[in-house]
Amino acid sequence: MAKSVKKAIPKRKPQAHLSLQPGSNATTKPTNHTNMPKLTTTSLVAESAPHSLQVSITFTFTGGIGQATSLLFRNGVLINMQSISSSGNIRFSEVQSGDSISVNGVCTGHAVIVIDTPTVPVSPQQFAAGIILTGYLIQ
Amino acid sequence: MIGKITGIVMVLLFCFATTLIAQKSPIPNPILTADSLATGNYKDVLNSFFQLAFDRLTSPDKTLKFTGTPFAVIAKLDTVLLVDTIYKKYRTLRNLNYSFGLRLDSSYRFNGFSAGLKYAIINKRDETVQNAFVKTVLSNAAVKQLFALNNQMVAKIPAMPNPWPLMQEYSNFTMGLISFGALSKPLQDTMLAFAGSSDSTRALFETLMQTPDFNMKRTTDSLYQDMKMNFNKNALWTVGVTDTTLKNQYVFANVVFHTEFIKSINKYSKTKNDLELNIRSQLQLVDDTLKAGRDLGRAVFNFEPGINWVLNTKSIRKSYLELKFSGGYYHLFNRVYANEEQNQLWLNGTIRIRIFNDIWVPFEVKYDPRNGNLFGFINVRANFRALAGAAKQLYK
Repeated sequence: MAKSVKKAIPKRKPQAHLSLQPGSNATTKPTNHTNMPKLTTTSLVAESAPHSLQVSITFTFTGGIGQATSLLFRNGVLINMQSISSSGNIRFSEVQSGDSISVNGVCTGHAVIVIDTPTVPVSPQQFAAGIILTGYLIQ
Repeated sequence: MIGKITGIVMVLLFCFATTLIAQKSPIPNPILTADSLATGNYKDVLNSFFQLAFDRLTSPDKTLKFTGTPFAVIAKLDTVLLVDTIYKKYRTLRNLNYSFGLRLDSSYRFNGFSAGLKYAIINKRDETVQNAFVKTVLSNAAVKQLFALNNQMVAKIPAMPNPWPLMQEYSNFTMGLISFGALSKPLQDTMLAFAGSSDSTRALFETLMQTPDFNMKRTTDSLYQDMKMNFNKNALWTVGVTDTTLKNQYVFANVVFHTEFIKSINKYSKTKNDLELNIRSQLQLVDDTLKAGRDLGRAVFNFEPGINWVLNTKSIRKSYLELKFSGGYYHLFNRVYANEEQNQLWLNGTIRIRIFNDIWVPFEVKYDPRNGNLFGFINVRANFRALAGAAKQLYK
């Protein structure tokens, strides 16, 4: 059993999986949107590329406290996840155009999320007291 | 008579002015704040910003009372204090209330002055700084489902054709600008596929299938408000001291030490209306006029346990009418004057009607069952909530 695993590893092409960009030729293959993407140890690693950048997400909670969790996805695969429990920054390194970031959390007063790179929807976004539920696509 | 009409006109003008100012706010405020959801009784016990009260409007001794918190004033001047890392450090100051009052006679002339301090020893209702409340929200099963749905959608959208407009459309959905039925088919299909893929999200799937006008923002707000309302039913215990100085009297002629406790007694019930236990007690020290000189030798003890019945609206569970029933026991520790009794029992009733979002009109009735005396007082309470507004100003 252990042998079969060792043999399987060299055959994988993780770079091909991670280099998929929305709208590129690589997406011509029909994909089933309803199936969860396979999560592997290699897909969890953000590959460095010339156009990679560090993205900082600034959370500011006022008039109360807050907590938030940000998840970075590339081609449907989770590649980074960070949480914050007070005002501050979350930094994702090696972010590429077409990556997406989801933000889930709660604030008891008022919250503002600022991302230091162009996104859809545009930031900053403001939230009144309540549940924070949003997502961004890196341009 | 003219004075009374002037007073009533002033109150009405104040009410309308408050509404007009609120309507001019450039930021829509669909979210109900803690203050607007709190019961009138709760805001009378401990105020979170400012309260202006016109008490005993129909009585010869009227009171115009202003209650506030020092933190609210400081934060209004320096909004940086509202940032969470600093805000948490000022819990003590937020639990402190001060009050100033002007006593007016039947002709609305100055008749005295009152001042007081109140501190909340136990305040489990301030959800803005309670990590326990944040944990409650984040561990809620329905909230977890919505978080999972959000992650799934954000992960999937980049792989769809035309991801940029789809992401903007999805963002509009999460912000409550469009409903589920107005979403494009790929987004609807992806959501339904995720929600239908597991038993844990079956309720979400059925909601999406049966409710085309499902609004994400309204749903999350409703979940949050339900949890906040439950949290606002926790215990609150205050202690305080008030001094009233009547015209032609010396300072500290009427000192009252008081304590008050409120707690909901049906916290986790699914009933629309709430029941609140309200116990208050006070010791009043006044000048014994039968003795020469000035002293505070006359002590009156008062104990008033009661139940406040809060009637909430059906959908947003916002209180619009409150009925409070209480009993009052009075005991004089010192000598009894003519026509006075050592011990007295009263039956009290208060009807609080919300006439605007932050303006309450309480009508109090006191009944002395032994002598058959009946007294009534009408008051007006306006609660101001400007901390949220100040927080918004930080980013203008």
